[in-house]
Amino acid sequence: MNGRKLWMKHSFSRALALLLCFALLLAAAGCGRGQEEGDSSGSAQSGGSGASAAETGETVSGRYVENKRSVPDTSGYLWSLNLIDGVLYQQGSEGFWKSEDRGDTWEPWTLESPMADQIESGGEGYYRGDVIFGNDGTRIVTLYKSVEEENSFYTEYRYVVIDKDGGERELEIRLPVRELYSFPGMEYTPGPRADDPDAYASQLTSLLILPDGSLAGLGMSQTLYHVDQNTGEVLHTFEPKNSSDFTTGLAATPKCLLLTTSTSARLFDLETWEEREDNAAINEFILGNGEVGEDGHVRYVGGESRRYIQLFADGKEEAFYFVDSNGLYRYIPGGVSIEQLMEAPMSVLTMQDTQCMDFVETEDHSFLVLFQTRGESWEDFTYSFYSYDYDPDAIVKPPEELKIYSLYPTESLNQAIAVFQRDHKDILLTYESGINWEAGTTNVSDALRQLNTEIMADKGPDVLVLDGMPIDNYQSKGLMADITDVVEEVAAENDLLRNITDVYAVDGKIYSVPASFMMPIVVGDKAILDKITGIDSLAQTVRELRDADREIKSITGYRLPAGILRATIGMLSPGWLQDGVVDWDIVGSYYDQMKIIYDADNNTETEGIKGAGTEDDPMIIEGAIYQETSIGLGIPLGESAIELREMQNYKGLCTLYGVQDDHPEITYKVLEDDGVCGFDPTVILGVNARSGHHEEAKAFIKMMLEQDMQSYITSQSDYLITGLPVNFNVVRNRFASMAGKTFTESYFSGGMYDFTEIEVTKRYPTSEEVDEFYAMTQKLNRVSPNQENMVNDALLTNCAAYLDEGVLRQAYTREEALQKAKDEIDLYLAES
Amino acid sequence: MRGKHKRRGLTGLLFLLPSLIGVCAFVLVPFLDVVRRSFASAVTEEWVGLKNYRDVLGNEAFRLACRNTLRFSVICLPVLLGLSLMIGVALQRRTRLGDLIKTAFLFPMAIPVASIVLVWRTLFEKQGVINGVLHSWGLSIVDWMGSPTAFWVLVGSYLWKNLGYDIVLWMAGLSGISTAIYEAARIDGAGEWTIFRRITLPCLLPTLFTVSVLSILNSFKVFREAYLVAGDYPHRSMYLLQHLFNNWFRDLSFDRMAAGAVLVAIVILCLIGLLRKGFDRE
Repeated sequence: MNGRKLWMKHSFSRALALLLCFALLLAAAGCGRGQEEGDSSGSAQSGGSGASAAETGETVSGRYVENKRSVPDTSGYLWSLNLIDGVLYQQGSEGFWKSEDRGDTWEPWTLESPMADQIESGGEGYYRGDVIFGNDGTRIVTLYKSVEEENSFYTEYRYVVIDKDGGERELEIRLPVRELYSFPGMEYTPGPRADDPDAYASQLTSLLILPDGSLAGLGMSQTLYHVDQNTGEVLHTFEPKNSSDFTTGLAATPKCLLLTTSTSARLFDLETWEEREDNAAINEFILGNGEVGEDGHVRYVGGESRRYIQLFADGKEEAFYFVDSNGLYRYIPGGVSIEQLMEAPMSVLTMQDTQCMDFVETEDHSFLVLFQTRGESWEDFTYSFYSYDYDPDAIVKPPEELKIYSLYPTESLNQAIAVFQRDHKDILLTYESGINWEAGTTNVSDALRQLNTEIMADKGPDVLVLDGMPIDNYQSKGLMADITDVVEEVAAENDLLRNITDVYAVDGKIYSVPASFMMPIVVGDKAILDKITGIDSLAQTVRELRDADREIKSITGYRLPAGILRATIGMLSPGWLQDGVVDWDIVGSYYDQMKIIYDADNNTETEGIKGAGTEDDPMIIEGAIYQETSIGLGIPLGESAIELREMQNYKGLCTLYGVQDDHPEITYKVLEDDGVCGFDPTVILGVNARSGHHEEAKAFIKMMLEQDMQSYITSQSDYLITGLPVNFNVVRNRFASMAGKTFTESYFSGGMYDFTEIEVTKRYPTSEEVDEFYAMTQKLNRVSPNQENMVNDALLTNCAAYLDEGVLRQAYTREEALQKAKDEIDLYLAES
Repeated sequence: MRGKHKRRGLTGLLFLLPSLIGVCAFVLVPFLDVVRRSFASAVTEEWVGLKNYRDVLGNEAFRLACRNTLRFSVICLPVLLGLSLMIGVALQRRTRLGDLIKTAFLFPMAIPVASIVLVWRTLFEKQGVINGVLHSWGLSIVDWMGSPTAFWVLVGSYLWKNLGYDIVLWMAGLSGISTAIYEAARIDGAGEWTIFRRITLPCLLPTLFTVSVLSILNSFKVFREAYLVAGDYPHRSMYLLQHLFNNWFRDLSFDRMAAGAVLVAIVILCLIGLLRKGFDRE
């Protein structure tokens, strides 16, 4: 190789090396910037709402502000909203409600339809379905029944039209017979009556009353039908473009009808009923980063997956609205782009377990939105209702940020954040939860490690909701700031339960304060309760009660280990853990007593209900009488001899005193073991000592302890686990004006398919009874092991495995269960 | 001449620089920060002197984890090194089947951890496959992961996963030994055992150093499987140093974690230093 060639080779190598180094530096810089941007976007945030701005550092004003309203008091499903002449109508599985103040208050409303009543009670098996509201005052009541036909089923529909003057008539809609045997996204398979010339289908879904009074709806084959409201005649038919396409929305403006599917949007002119071609913007929006393949299915490229987009329109304005997890959008038919009105990271829309159910626009262009929030299981859900009002003065994105963090999603924090945000517009509140079932983040340890990383990088939250976190550890490490002044300030003007609020105090200083708590109680005959003074006497009493009555379903109200253990873990003697050393004799004794109780509970001659449900869902199989507010109800109904409960909602006192009025012998008391009363603190608040926003964080905690917010977070819903307020003024004020008054509520008792409805008379407690309740709360003197994740898991999981070998996959003998708990707890304690 | 040497040295340094910068940025500087933190409190970072070291050395969990980690290394490393050497030597002689068997031994390395964990669970759960077989044979079942047997499950997993890798390393070393030496020894009447002891082993000493260090480092990776199967708190017998550090991280005990990390680093550095010195002497 000559010198020139060698020189060229070396030069090339150097140039390549330099280029690679430059590329490396560029990539590193890019990564760094990307990280910052990623950080700023946050996750699972909530607060106000806003548009994109403020990136230049300028303060931009004008955005939609989220305000929580109330929802009708119901345990059933809620779905459609309608705004007619300024009155808001809410439809649900248990009836209708109306609100004349934009959802601040609701009252039951009845839709009078003698014709629909007659069909329903006519013995043909018809049930009432949805009611469709027209903007001109017309309403259509749907009635349906399932028809079985040679091993196949279809649904038959009837329609009662109530015009604006109240006149009624039945509308017969005759759709092609193939709709009887069609299913969305599936091949059509002709059924027994497919060739019958007299047969027809009648089921129209997503039914709309159009501005000209005609109807539009979808058949089971996803075909769009335009129907004459007077004759029921099908005027226009539009077949789906792709048999695998699934319709996601149907809505109308005064001039257009928009049909959205999983792959496309079809826009129809309501005058000519011709399909419009100027729908490129909406098509692009629906597809996002997806591409429709040759088979008609959508494939998504890049990181983003399919979005769940919902379509709404009220038929009054020439605009369609879309809601997805990224925000609220508006589309003007024929427009070349979709306008984003609100960004989700600033609103409840961003909560991954929350779904928009319905949406209306008011005359002043505010929005009212109904949301459903799912729990861990499919039947576990709650509703919330928000208004979005445009505030020209609201800062789009404040320069400062107050981060609030909880390990588990805490619904009550959303409203607290929204309220605080309203009063502190100079700081942006963001909320993040470490555990997110939808996102697949389910490991507590991983979530804590992630949190610790952020804390040590000084990017951690300012306010910590410490439920499920190692509170003592955080306090001893100096992570929590002193918030004694906040508690004292609130206590000066409120009746704070100091035995609860000060439970984590160290040397007179408070670093963590519970905003609510749960109190373990036992309900039953006074003579029986007098015998129960500790865990041993509880077990003995339960055994005696079972010996005396072999027929009763349950003694304590629980048949599954989890419930019994949760209710009694607070009774575990304080001596079980001293100076970091576990007394395993005491724990063993606790396991023994639990075994006695569990066996007694399940040793019944009544047909077992065990196995009908799951370990996690005892409520389904044990009936709705075990709702949080139905304390004491199971005893007179013969469901149980006594009730072990964790009192989570002070409204339960109304049931208890209602029961007591009919059965004076029934009373309640705190579960205690020789003077030791364990309780579960909830929504435990603290301020990160490394936070740069101490004052704002303390102000947030102060608000959480004050009466207004306490009232909200502890009484959102009768069906939501909330906790009792630490600010006792809430209880006193709640009952003061209603003391002694009675009211009735319906309950369903029994299994999922075999239940009876009962009416229960409840009574608000008198001031003396409230004082009695207060005295009981004063007995609480110790945090239950429930609050310590590691210890709790080891103690309860292994005990549950010991109690019922049939329920859990991992079954242990007493010694095995104790040894396993010992291994885990000893290791955990040895680490500290 | 001196100028040329200097220039060559500078060129060498320039080539080293990118990786040196990487090592400094991602290993040495962070480690210095860990050393600093080991003398400070966890959150407030106040100077606490040797308190963290005293806490760590007096910590029962740390001692248990050290014992288990040491026991694991003492049992696994000789078995792994010996077994892989024997298989490596055997495979070296069977050139036809050797490649195929070598690939088979390497296969565990290609299996994702998640799959290994799934297999572990299927096999060793209390109601898993092995207990099913034991039960069908009328034998009493064993709580594999909840008893001291968990340690041996961990040992087996480590050997199964790393055997192939070590075999390849040994075989690379074996291929570097000249066949002429073997032939000369055979002509002189040396038996197989003598050849192995007098020729193969001494020639493999440089490889032994590499294989030993890599095996030690790989022994720390077995934590992934242990953690994914048994979580933060496995049976005491398989509670390793990484479990402890992981849990200290969760509990915000950065002070102890830093002190523990420094102690472990010192031990590993000493161990590697001793190995190096031993091999250099040889």
